[in-house]
Amino acid sequence: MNKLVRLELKKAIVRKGVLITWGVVLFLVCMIAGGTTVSDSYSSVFQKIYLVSPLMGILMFMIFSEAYIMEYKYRTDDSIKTTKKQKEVVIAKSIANTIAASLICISILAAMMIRAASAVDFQGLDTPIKEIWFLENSGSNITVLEMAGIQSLTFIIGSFLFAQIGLFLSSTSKSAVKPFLLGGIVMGIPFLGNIYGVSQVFPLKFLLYTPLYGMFSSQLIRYGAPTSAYVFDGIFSITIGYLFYRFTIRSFTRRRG
Amino acid sequence: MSKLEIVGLTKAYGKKIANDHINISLNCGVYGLLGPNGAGKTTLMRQIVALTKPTSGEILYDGQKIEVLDTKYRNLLGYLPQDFDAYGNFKILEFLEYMAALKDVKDSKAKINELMSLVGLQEVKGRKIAKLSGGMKRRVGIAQALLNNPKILVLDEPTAGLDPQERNRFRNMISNLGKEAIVILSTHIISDVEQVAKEIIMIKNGRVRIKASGKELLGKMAGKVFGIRVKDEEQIAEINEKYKIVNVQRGADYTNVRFISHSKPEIVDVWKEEPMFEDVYIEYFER
Ligand SMILES: Nc1ncnc2c1ncn2[C@@H]1O[C@H](COP(=O)(O)OP(=O)(O)O)[C@@H](O)[C@H]1O
Ligand SMILES: [Mg+2]
Repeated sequence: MNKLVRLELKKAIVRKGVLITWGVVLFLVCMIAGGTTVSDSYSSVFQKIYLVSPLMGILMFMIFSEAYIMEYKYRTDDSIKTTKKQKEVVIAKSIANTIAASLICISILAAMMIRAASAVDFQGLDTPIKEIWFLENSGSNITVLEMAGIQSLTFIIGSFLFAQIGLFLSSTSKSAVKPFLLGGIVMGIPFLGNIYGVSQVFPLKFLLYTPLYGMFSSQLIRYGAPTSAYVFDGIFSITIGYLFYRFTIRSFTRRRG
Repeated sequence: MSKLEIVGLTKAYGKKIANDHINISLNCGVYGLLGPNGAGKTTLMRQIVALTKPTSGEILYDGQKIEVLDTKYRNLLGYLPQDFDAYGNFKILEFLEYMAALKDVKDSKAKINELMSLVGLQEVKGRKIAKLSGGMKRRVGIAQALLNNPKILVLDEPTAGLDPQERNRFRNMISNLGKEAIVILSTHIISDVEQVAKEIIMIKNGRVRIKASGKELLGKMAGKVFGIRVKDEEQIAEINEKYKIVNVQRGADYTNVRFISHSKPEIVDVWKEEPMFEDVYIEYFER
């Protein structure tokens, strides 16, 4: 299984388009992070990490949408499906793509954190987040570094969900365009609602219960979301992710008519 | 001894009947699936390896339906798809590692090494697949099919794109494999299978025309192949009208025509020819 995951990870990430886009995104987010005070500098990270979520989405769905299309393109699906472990390929892809997406999200966060910290001489990483303005309403005593840790953890859960959706779309499509666009919509809808402040359509109360907010726990914490939101987002992400994973197994291993 | 039975197998794509009530039984040895393009070879093979579902009929391995055997059956399979390809950015070695993991091959390093020598890829094993020639890719495909020592080896046009030397090497390899496995290989070139196949299955328009050993096929042609020295093109046209022409041989000052007739031709000056596989091909596939 290890070997399969490792090689699936290579298929997912070691691609010119992905690596270049990833590099560009890391460069861009470094440009926008940082400030002159501890409060400003770390606020910029947690405020802007959510604003760059579309960039994360693009990168993630660039990877997911190709996952099965690549097999169809090279016709390796036939070779895979005549082996004993055809189902394990689906598992390996699920794990590898979750890892790939997590790496993307966490690397972006890490790049911003490093940039922000270096702007204030690596001071204040142990400041409680209630003391930095973007998260002051949370009233929470967890530190900036802990917040980054929690954010990374929820990135992994979100990556799992979006990977399963993206992989399913890829396994059922003929070209990577459809899964890429559909994936963009899945990630984008709650975001658009938030950006344009269409609060009548997407009141914050609802947004807190979307997987996108679940993924960006800094948002949940900022708005002092109730525990139920965390529980709901967690269970929702894992259940829906698992369902899509089952659908993918079925769609990939089905004998064609 | 293991046995693969294909019973009343029919595959329809809309109105097109790609396989039409195929009944054949196979055991250890090399089988040549011979037929022109569009005959239904690939369709048959894809059903044998459980990639496509038959419209009706079934395939049994040792008396059990292959879809019931499921994983157990796939564990015995080696398959080379007709248009085999693999990830361009993978090295040959990496791709074979990947396939070995999928086939749960024990001691995969040694096995891969052995196969690299067998198919003659040892010197290029570190090369990216995108950088391989058609013949090399084909050999990677053959190697991946062999990783799990398959009991049922299905090769769809394995010699396509191979040069004469590679074809030779392949034929030697195949006759060895046929000692312990059911080997089915498709081709539209009769010389690929005439020497190595235990039986040749001739298929056209989705139907099995005949299944017999090379010797039997030649035997059936005995007394049916003739030669004649013709005077002019007009005479060739005449012969073509009544009989199946196998070939026309043009010398410096003569033209010989080889043709097939089921009864003694009503032309003077014909002579009998010793049957060859080319005659068999024409007999079953032309017109
Ligand atoms: N997926 C498909 N959909 C529709 N027609 C098909 C499909 N696959 C094969 N056919 C048709 O079935 C016939 C047999 O094709 P195939 O098995 O590929 O022949 P061969 O391998 O002998 O060249 C052809 O007429 C082909 O056009
Ligand atoms: Mg074919």
